Amino acid sequence: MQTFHRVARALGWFSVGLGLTELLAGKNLDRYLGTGGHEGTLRLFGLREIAAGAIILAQKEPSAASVWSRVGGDVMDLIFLGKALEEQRNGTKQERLGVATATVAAVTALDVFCAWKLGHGSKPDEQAEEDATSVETSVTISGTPEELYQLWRNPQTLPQVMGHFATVTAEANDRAHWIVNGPAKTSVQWDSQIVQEEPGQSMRWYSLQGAKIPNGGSIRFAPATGGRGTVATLEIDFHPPGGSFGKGAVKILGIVPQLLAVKALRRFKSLAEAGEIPTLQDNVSARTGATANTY
Amino acid sequence: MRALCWNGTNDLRVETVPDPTIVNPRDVILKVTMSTTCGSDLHLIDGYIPTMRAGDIMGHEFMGEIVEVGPAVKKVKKGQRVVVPSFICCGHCFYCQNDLWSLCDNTNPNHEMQEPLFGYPTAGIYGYTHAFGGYAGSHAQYIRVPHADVDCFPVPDGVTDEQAVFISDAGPTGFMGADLCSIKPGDTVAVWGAGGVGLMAMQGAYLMGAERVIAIDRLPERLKMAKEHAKAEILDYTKVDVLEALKEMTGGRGPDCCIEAVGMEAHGPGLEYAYDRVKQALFLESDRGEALRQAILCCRKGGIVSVLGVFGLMDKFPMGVIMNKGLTLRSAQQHGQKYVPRLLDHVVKGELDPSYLVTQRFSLEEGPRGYEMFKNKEEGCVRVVFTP
Ligand SMILES: NC(=O)c1ccc[n+]([C@@H]2O[C@H](COP(=O)([O-])OP(=O)(O)OC[C@H]3O[C@@H](n4cnc5c(N)ncnc54)[C@H](O)[C@@H]3O)[C@@H](O)[C@H]2O)c1
Ligand SMILES: [Zn+2]
Ligand SMILES: [Zn+2]
Repeated sequence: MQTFHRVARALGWFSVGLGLTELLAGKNLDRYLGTGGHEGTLRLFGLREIAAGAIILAQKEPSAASVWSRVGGDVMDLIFLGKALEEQRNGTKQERLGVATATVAAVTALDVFCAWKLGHGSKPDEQAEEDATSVETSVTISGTPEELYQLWRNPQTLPQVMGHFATVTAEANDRAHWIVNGPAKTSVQWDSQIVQEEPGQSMRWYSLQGAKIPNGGSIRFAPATGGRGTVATLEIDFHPPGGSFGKGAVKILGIVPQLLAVKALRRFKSLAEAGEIPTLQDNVSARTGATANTY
Repeated sequence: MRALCWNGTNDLRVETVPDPTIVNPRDVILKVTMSTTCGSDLHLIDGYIPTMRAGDIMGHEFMGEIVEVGPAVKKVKKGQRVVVPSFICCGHCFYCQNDLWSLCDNTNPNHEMQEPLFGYPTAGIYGYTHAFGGYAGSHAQYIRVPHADVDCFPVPDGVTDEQAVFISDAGPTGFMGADLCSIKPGDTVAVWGAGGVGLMAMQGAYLMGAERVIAIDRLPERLKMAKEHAKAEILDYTKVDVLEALKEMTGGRGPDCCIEAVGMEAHGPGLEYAYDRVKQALFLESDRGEALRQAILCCRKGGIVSVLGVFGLMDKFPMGVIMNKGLTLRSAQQHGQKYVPRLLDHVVKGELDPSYLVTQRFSLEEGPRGYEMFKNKEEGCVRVVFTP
């Protein structure tokens, strides 16, 4: 990745240089290329180039998006030059325009390649999110805090709400057994127990002794403003032992706490409001294993 | 069962796939009796909308007969002939309760694919990418319909399949487009695009009180339909300067309301089109927004622009024109469940007959050919219906 960050910075400086030329020497450039009284357009292009360059250079690790924005500029240049070339009848100027067009085309190719390469590495903020082991997220749900609390407390609820990531079985009134299956037959199990409860408002649970990845969570219900139902807030913590080893285990199991929590809460909302959780079970469109197309 | 499946850009195939099953208690299974092509499908086929997967079943505008019902279905029954709007809606969330059906909170199992792009996820939709739910589409012999009591509308006797099928999507979308214009008596409404959606918007505009409706397109057979079926005045944008023509027709004021029913693959004669085309081909932007920009330009000061066309993250968007002219921009994916009862009523009363949109009738096996014709607008094609 390093290399492409360096290429991106070079492209950034190129943008600034080209931009300054277009901005400050727009008139001469127009005459030199014979683009026919378009120094205004060239100056605008110059401003755009400088902005594109500045955005790339302002980033410690230039993003793919910032380089793609250069590509956008290249395309405008190409269209502009292409039109000028079509209209130019003077041989020397035609040649100069040809050289300018070829140069821009070459730089465009480099831009596209660099942006593409940058776009296919992992982004720093995604990385941070994956490592986080404690998350809190909220959603607004129709109904009163009491009703929603009752539903959450129903022994049939947790197995459904957590169904996207764990097989949960309600055991005693305040206990549950969790099994998380990872890839290649890895699996982790634990028991959890409600450790604190304020009926109608909130509860907190924690895994019992012996859990390989100790974890806990809480749910709170509070009235939403404007009579818009209830704000439900779910908190989930994983406390993997042994620092990076435990974090690795969380990762191998495919547990992304942020996603897990948001999804669990949305599933709870659907169960509460619509009586069921949306699912594609046995009915996914598409062939098994087919991946999604992207832009 | 047999189904028409997407296999990549411009690669549709009819395949044998597993039958759908009832999973949730409010599901029903429909035997599809008629399913039709929509302009939105073209954006998928052309590869402009991400998160399609090979083997995806296409189609979201359809009707059928209920052949199996889940245990919690109370209102609709086995054997009933029903039409189903394209968006899957729960009927209970804040959005459904406020008639903003396509924004339902509880029907998109893949919300996490949408949230980074939209901030908040929309409802699920049949046959329309995995970001929009990953539900199987309707160009198949059978389809699973969740929340059947909310989403299945029995078709009255006397309303034919050809009339009812468009009350799934083109009809409600067009009517919503007119509704978003808050039409006042005396208003002139201009509609860009005379496809199924645009034509329904024209008829909706009249039924909501517009005094004049002007249709803008380039395809003669569609303009003819606009004139004959929707009583619209017509403009061919390749032959006239649309801004000048509209000014002339409206005494220099411009249309009070402009409805855009073209979308991200607008076609156009000028340099602007070339620019969009190049950028779209390089996937630098998802949209060719020529019709939308023109609608914004042509709308009278303080008027309303209602956007029905599907777009991605468009650039070169003329915010300054909207701002300085004080325009109101309104848009949505269709809130079908709001409009279906009204549309069925119009049909029963003989005030609306969308069946003229059917220009070709094919079996499902001829699906790829049907889309080819629809895409290239061959032989006057407006909508192909499949009878599986
Ligand atoms: N909002 C919704 O819920 C919803 C529902 C259905 C369809 N849509 C969208 O509505 C749009 C139209 O759908 P359709 O099924 O009628 O499609 P269609 O392809 O049948 O019709 C599009 C029409 O636009 C015309 N056109 C192209 N460029 C134009 C331009 N520059 N000016 C004027 N007309 C132009 C074409 O000639 C064609 O007649 C699509 O973008 C579709 O995705 C939205
Ligand atoms: Zn559609
Ligand atoms: Zn809903």
